[in-house]
Amino acid sequence: MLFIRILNYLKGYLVITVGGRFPERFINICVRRGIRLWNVSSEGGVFTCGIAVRDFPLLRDVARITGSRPRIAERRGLPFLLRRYRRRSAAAILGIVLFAAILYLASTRVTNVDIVGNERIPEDTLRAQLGECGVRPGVEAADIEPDRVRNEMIMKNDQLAWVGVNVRGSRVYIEIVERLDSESVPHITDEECNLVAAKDGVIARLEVKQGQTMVRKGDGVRAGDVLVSGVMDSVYGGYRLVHAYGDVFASTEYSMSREYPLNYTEKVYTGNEKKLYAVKLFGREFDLYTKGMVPEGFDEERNESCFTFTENGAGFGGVCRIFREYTLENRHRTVSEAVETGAAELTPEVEKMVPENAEIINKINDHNILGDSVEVTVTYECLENIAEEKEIDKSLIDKSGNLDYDIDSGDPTNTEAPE
Amino acid sequence: MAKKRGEREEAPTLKEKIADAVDISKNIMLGMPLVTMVGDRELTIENYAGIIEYGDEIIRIKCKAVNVSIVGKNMELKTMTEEFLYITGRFKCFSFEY
Repeated sequence: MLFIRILNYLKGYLVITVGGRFPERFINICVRRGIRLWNVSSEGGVFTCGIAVRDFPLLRDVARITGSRPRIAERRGLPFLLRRYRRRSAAAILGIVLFAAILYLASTRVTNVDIVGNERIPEDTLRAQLGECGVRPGVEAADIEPDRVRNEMIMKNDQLAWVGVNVRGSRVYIEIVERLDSESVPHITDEECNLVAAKDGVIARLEVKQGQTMVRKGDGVRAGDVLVSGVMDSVYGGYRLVHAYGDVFASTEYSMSREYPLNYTEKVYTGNEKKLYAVKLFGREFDLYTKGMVPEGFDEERNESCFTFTENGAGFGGVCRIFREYTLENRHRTVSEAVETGAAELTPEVEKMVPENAEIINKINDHNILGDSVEVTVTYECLENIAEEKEIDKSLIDKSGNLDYDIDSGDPTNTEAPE
Repeated sequence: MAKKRGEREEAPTLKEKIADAVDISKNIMLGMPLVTMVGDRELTIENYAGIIEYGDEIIRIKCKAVNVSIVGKNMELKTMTEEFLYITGRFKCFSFEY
């Protein structure tokens, strides 16, 4: 039934009303002559029914015999719809052209660059370098020469051992093999050096594999202090230079403090909003507004929705900039409220300061009341490797072969080297 | 037992007997309508001859052997071909007329 209805819709049909004294006769004759009627319903002596367009002229004969009058009440179906929209054919052609253009662009341009195999090299760096080599979303896929890109990439990034470039339709797959760690890091015995503190801290654990240890557990060190010396004193006189090597773990502190006044102004949104739109296509923005329409003294929020064919590829989308009007209002808060807001604000900032390889041991929130404001301090105590390789300053080694760090640092802990 | 005149039609006719004997479906042999009903909503009649009366509350259909009359509400002739009629609506009464 549904199929027949769809077919009727595609071919177009008429809804007619037939008045007269003998609707039965009309229907009977129609059936006998093979004129198809459907959805026949009657109301007060007049009946309506559906009929195919090409059958309508045949009704004239039937009407004459029965003395009834068929009238067209409605024209339904696709042909009539198309006729109604005939004047809008320009828009339809534009749509077809636009469709073809988008299809062409989407199928010939690179929409996505997939990078596989990078572990140490950040993807952004690789993307930037690939972009310089002409591999980025939006370029013509046929213009990419895999051999040239491969060579250029290996020249640009010395951490790369091998690069594979595969263009599959509108996607580019970059396969990468990084150089091995030992190839990029100098060998232990290669070069003489000291291990110095990269930052301030209190020594917690020493794992020295080569070199003269200069600090003990519990010692406080400042950034730049020598932790493990590359100058090895020898019992038999003289010294030899080695590549100091090992891990020195120290507890370090990361803290942020900020003053929070108890009386403050806050932005209160009035609810007035203004929205401006822009269209994004292949990474470029086309504003749908003029510069004069951008309001001032409003907060701006930017919503971007981008349709991409694949993850992190180019595509098209829209940008909506929402401007919200606000007024400044004076507020008052208690000390505990200020401490709470301060801690909530500072904690993520401190967390950002903590390096990835550091282990967080303790978190301390502290505050200090200063008249009508509160100073909130958030401190993170961490355990991390602070050892950093540094060249040995040979001018500090005196002629007798003894090392005198006192001259430079004046730190008494460094004068006595543990055995 | 002697049959009364009025009951004569109840007895199987010759045609019916033949139809029984040769195993041909009776609707074709005897011009009987084949009626299919789905509750009180849908009705299909095959093997009909024409429409005697048509309205939204009563439809009478002529068949070769018997006539059919349907009484109901909001009845519509959804589909009509020479072979069958498809009627929808809310039926109240379905009866045969001789």
